[in-house]
Amino acid sequence: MTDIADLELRIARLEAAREIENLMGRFESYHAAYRNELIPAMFADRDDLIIEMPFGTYLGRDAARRVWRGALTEDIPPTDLSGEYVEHLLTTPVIEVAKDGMTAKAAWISPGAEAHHFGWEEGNPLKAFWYWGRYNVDFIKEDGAWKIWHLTHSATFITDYHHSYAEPEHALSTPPAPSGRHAPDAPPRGQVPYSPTFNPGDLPVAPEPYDTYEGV
Amino acid sequence: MSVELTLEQRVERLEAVHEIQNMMSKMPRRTPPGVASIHRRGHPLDRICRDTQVMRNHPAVDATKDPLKEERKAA
Repeated sequence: MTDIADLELRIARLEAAREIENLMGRFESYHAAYRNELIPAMFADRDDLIIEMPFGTYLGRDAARRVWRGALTEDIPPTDLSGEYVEHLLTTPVIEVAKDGMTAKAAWISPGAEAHHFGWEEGNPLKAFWYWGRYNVDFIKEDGAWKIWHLTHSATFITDYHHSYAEPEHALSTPPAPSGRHAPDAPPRGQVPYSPTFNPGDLPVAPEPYDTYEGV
Repeated sequence: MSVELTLEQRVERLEAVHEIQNMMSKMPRRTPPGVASIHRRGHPLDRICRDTQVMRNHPAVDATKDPLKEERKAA
C-alpha cells in the first residue's frame, strides 16, 4: 500500500510543475504588456539570485529589479509605446521538480518577435525583427510559492524581419549597453548565439531528473 | 465501461503525462553526437525512420529503456 505522505509529495511535485508553467507564462505576458515592474516579485527574495541575459550577468538580491525595472525599462526609451511589440513564446518545455519537492530545473526553447523604435539610430526608425532564444531556469519554493532563482536567457538569433539569421552582414544594430546603476555585474554568460560557424553541440541540454539541488 | 481508479493510479496518470511531455521535449536535444541527420537524402519520412533506427542502435542510447522494445520482448 502506498504511504499517504509519499502520495502527497508526488501530488505536490505535479502541482509544482503546473505552477512553474504558469509562473513563466505570466512572466512572458507581463514582459509582452510592458509591465516589467511586475516581474521582480516573481524572483526569490535571496542573495544568491543569478540572471544571465544577452546584455550581461546580474547577481544578488536586487538583480531582477536592476534588469526589469532598470536596464529594460528606465534605460530604454521610448515612453511612447505606440508600435512597440515584444512576444516571447515558451515551447518544448522540460520541467524537472526535485524528488524532495523543494527546487526545480526547467528549460524552454523560445521563438519570438519584436518591433521597436531604434532610438539610438538616426530618425528613430521602427524595426520589426525575429528573436529566438532559450530559457534555462532554476526555481525554488519560498514561503509556499514557487519563485525564479537562477535564470539564463540565451539569444540564439536576433534578425531583421527581411533577412535570415545566416546573413550576419545584415545584423541589426544593438542598443547601448546598460550602464550606471543598472550596469551588469559581469559580462554575458551562457550565450550560444547562432553564426555561420555555429556548433549545435554547444547548446545546453535539458535538465535531468534529480533528487535534491546541489549547486549551480 | 468506466473503470474506477484508485488515488494512486490517478497520480500515476498525471505523472505519466508530465513525464511524456518532458521526454518529447528532450528528444531532439538528447540525440547522441554524430547521429543527428545522418540520413540527408530521400523523403523526410524515410529519413526520420532511418535516423530513428540508428538512434536505437547507437551505443549512447540505453536500449533497455525503450518501451517499444520492452513491449516487443513481452509479446
